[in-house]
Amino acid sequence: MTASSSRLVAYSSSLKLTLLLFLFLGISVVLWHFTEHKLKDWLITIPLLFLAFNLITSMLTNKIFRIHGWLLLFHVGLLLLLLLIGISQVTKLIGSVEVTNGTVYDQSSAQWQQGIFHRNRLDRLQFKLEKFNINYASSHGEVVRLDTQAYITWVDEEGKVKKGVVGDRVPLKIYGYKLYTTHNKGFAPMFKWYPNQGGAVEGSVHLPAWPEHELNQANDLQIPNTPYKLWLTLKFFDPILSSTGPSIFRIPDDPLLIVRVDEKRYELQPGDFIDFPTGRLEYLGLNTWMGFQVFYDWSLPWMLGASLLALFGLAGHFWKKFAPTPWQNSLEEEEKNRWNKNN
Amino acid sequence: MEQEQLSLWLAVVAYVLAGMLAIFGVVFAKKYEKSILFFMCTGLALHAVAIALRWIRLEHGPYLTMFEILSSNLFTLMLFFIIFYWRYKPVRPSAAVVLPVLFIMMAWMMFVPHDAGMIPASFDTIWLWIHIGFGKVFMGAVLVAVGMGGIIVLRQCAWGERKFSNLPSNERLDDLAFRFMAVALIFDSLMLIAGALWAHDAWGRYWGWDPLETWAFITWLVLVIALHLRATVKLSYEQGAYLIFAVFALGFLTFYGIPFISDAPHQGTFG
Repeated sequence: MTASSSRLVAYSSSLKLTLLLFLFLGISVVLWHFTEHKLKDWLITIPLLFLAFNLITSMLTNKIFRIHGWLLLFHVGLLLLLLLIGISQVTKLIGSVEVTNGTVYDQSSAQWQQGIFHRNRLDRLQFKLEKFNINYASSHGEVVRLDTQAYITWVDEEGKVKKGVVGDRVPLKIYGYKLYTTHNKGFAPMFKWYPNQGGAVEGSVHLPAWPEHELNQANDLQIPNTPYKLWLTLKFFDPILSSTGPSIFRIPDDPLLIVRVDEKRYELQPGDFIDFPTGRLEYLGLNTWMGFQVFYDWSLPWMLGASLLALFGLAGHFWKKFAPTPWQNSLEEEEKNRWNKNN
Repeated sequence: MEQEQLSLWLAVVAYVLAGMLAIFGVVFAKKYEKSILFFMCTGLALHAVAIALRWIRLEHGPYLTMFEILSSNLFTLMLFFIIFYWRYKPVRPSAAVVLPVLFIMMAWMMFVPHDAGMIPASFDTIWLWIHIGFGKVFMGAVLVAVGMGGIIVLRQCAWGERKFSNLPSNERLDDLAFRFMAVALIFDSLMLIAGALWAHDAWGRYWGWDPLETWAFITWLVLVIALHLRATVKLSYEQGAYLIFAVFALGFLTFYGIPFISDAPHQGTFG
């Protein structure tokens, strides 16, 4: 090995460098919170990569790891964890999907981010949201969300139809994906479009999440294969959730759907129509939608294993370091030395 | 309700008496160790009664509101310190440092609203108990290290040097603090792992960098830096003590500060 490469190895395996990298990581984590840049995850990835490199070179060159087996085990566990975090980033999928009550899952309403090596099977998912309940209670004049139950019918990997209730800590598991119910839900006006030529189609518009966007219950509707774009908003005075007792998320008793088409304004009740030159739009009524979080990460149990392995190594290292010389014994020895010195 | 409040007030009075005796003991070079232990144990027993009565009344453990979190943490920190006080006789005067730190929590606890909260669905899991249990051991271990660090720092002035002259050397105190910091690192790591399992269970993600998770990670990182610095750089005992204070301050901020300024779903308290 040349002098310069030896120096490079010495620098890169330095334990003082580790300290600097820890500081770098801490600062990066704080900065991560203050940026919305799409590449912000690199703020955490870069120091972790440097730390992994520093760890590998230290383990290969620093004799302390050959003397202290438990310490080596701890650092091997940490390295495995870093490796698994890296693999997880390129293989996992995190997303969300909104499903209208009483309808089947449609992949076109899903949004997700996936690693470059993730084999996407979201198009294979088949499930129907039969209905859902979200219970609320009041606490000091404020409404608090309690439990959620979503009644689902789904087709499993073997093609069997299954029924079940998911919600809160119980996800729907299909094709390795876990679908969790979320606090995200809202109202969904249902429409039917009768074109002058061709068959009728049904659909819904998901208004912004409620009660989070209670004062902004508006959205657009683009009628399929037409230039018609409608703006619609929902008005109601029924309080739905109670700040003085238990309540449940439900459709309001007095909903009024206001629709604007260019300069024209309509107030629709279920069964009302709006006529267009190329067809007729019927307002079927108000429904609800539920948001699900979609998650896939095969590495989780392995990450847990690596974390526990690291911790086992750390505990073993400290035990070996401290157990043979209890603190009280070292204190007695110090006092004995002090006494001998004074006499 | 009245019995609950009475028990709590009496517990606080007993804790304060123990703390005052600890301070007087150091200032006037008197040995009140048995009385201090008696008042701490009495306070703990009364505190246990107050917690149990509230638990029976509300049908849930002390982990929802700020009052409940402060009360349960004060209880476990006191329990941890009593065991330490009983087992480590040579450093008992550290109570004069530790108990005033706990006074802050007591005062805060008595002034926050004592109203009941509502249990969110995500709290209905065994991981909640495991997660907060590890967290309490972590804070207890750092609190003991703070006691050692406090003596080391107080010894920097002539008064402190004189008052704590009968205690073991700074080297031994630093060694003891380091041992407790090692315990703290293990339990802090376990707390993060259990928290990740709980988060995955509750929200479908194991780590989301929400404010509480971020500050819990930064606390863990500073704890790692403190231990790493001790192993790699020749730190003075005072520098080591200040690092312990930093870990405790960050842990305190993460446990009791962040959940109240963040709107993230990962809130530690629900009013």
